[in-house]
Amino acid sequence: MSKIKLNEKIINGIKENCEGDSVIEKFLIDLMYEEVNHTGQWRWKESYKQKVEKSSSEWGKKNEN
Amino acid sequence: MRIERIIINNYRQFRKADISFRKRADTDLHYLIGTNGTGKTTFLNAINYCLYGDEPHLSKESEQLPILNLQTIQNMGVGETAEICIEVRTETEDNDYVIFKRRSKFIKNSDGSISHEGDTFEVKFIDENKNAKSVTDEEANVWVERFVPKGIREFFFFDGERLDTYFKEVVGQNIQHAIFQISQIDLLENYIEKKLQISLDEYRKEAGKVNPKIEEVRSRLESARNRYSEYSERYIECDKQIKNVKEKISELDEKLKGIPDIQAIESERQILKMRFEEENEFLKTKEFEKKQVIYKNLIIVQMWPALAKSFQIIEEKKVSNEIPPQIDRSLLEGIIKENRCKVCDRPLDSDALNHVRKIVDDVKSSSEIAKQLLLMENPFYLFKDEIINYNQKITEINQNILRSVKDLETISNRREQINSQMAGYNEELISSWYKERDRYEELRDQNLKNLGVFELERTNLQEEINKYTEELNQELQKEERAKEISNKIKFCDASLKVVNKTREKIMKETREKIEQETRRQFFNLVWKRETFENIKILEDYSIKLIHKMGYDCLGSISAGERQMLCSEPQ
Repeated sequence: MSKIKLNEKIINGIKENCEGDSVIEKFLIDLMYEEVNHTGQWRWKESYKQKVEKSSSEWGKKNEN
Repeated sequence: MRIERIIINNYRQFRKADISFRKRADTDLHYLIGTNGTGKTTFLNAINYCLYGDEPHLSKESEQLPILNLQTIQNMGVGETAEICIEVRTETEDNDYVIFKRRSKFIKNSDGSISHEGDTFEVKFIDENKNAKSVTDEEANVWVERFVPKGIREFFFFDGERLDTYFKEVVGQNIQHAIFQISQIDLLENYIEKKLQISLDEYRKEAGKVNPKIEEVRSRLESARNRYSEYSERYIECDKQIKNVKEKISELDEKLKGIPDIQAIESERQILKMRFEEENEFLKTKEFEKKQVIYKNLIIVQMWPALAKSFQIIEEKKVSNEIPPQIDRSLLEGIIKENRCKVCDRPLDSDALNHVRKIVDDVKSSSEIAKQLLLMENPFYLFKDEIINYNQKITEINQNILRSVKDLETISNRREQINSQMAGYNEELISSWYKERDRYEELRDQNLKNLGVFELERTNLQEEINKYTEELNQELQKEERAKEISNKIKFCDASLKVVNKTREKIMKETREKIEQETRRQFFNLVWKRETFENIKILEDYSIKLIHKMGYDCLGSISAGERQMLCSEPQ
């Protein structure tokens, strides 16, 4: 976890707008930390792909249930 | 994060300086005030030097001087080293500290000159386990970029004497950019949103390979989105131009405040000149006409008093029954002939006969006069008509002349008024300002029209995008082979919606907070608070200051007030 803090309002905003969708909430907050810690990373596609794959699969299962 | 203390050693005029910034309950905005040469700008440069390794506010005079303190240089022996050390101590929201420290090492050469040996830059902080940590150089620079990014440093440390200029430069987009960076909205907008959209597009392309129908809808969606982006760019560019043009118009309005409208005055001048010439011509015509009427009627006009008198006499004689005569002349002549009164039939004596003869003579002469007078009566009526006609004409001409003279006087007075009003103004220059303003107003109106067109296009395209997105989702739903990828698309889509909503919410809240804070600070400090009604931060983060009378008065406030207002968002 980085010392650089995320804007609390953004975190709360994401939580609020997710309306209880914990998978998207976790995914977006994770992306926020990713961006704060690795700003300008040129291999972002790889990292995003992995995160989308992981989260979307969990999200899909949850939605099916 | 706030700066709580700055320690400077051997930097320019500061051999040793240690300045703390205490936090007050009501405000945390700090102003450094001092007479010229006391080191305000040097102090600002010291902060910049520590964090970024440069001195953006250096004057031409200071550029000539060494960065190392002169006293320190004097005390150094040849081959000896000394260092500049600047520490910027900050306090975080968790009451932890972050210290930025730059050391620049110098050596004294044999010719007395100073050489820069190198820098070390260090950031000290407390980590999440409450342990003191330290990073240097590149890693330390990342910290600076995150806390006080170089690109927006003027929002943190600025030269008060240049605030007014910043205000003009740092409007709209720059402020918005800075606020987005500080509040991390840029992370949502420029990184997560963009990258998720790219990922989503790639997943859609992948899905398109599975089924041609999906590809067809995807391609339509992509085309609509591309056109939407194109119109968005044009919209933004147009909006930017409108803002620039408005700024120019307001600058020109400022210049032209209190200066007469040369173009309007010039056109009034031309109209007055034309009217003067026309009126003058009219006056001359009327004066000529008057002369002609008088000349034509000269005789009758001159004779009119005598004629009028004769007419008066006739009228009087008529009234007194003198004309025509009442005496029967043939009767009297018969009396004389027969020497006998025709009434009583008595003979006449000589006295009576003489008396009758005298009466006959008198009647004879008065009848002649009466006859002449009666002969005059008819032509007199003709003369009378002529003189009435003459009088009417002359009255009418005189009225016209009088009005014309009056009008000419009014025109002359206005022309003189204009001349005195314009005395001392550089009419050519002012006229060029007016023309320039007209051009900008035309440009603004044209751009406003374009803006409306682009907005309409965007609305239509957004509808198209929504329609194709829906269609695409339906096609994906149908395709069993694209189930997994469809799930990723839906997930990205749902995530993007959350990002979008969050970004808009934070933007709105941030703007409202800035507006509230600006209002509070401005009305707490400003000396003319009874003049102003409100402060508004618009969507593009430009500032509107509303006068008590309800109009936007930002352009007319003093430089001091503007500086005050400008410093609030910073």
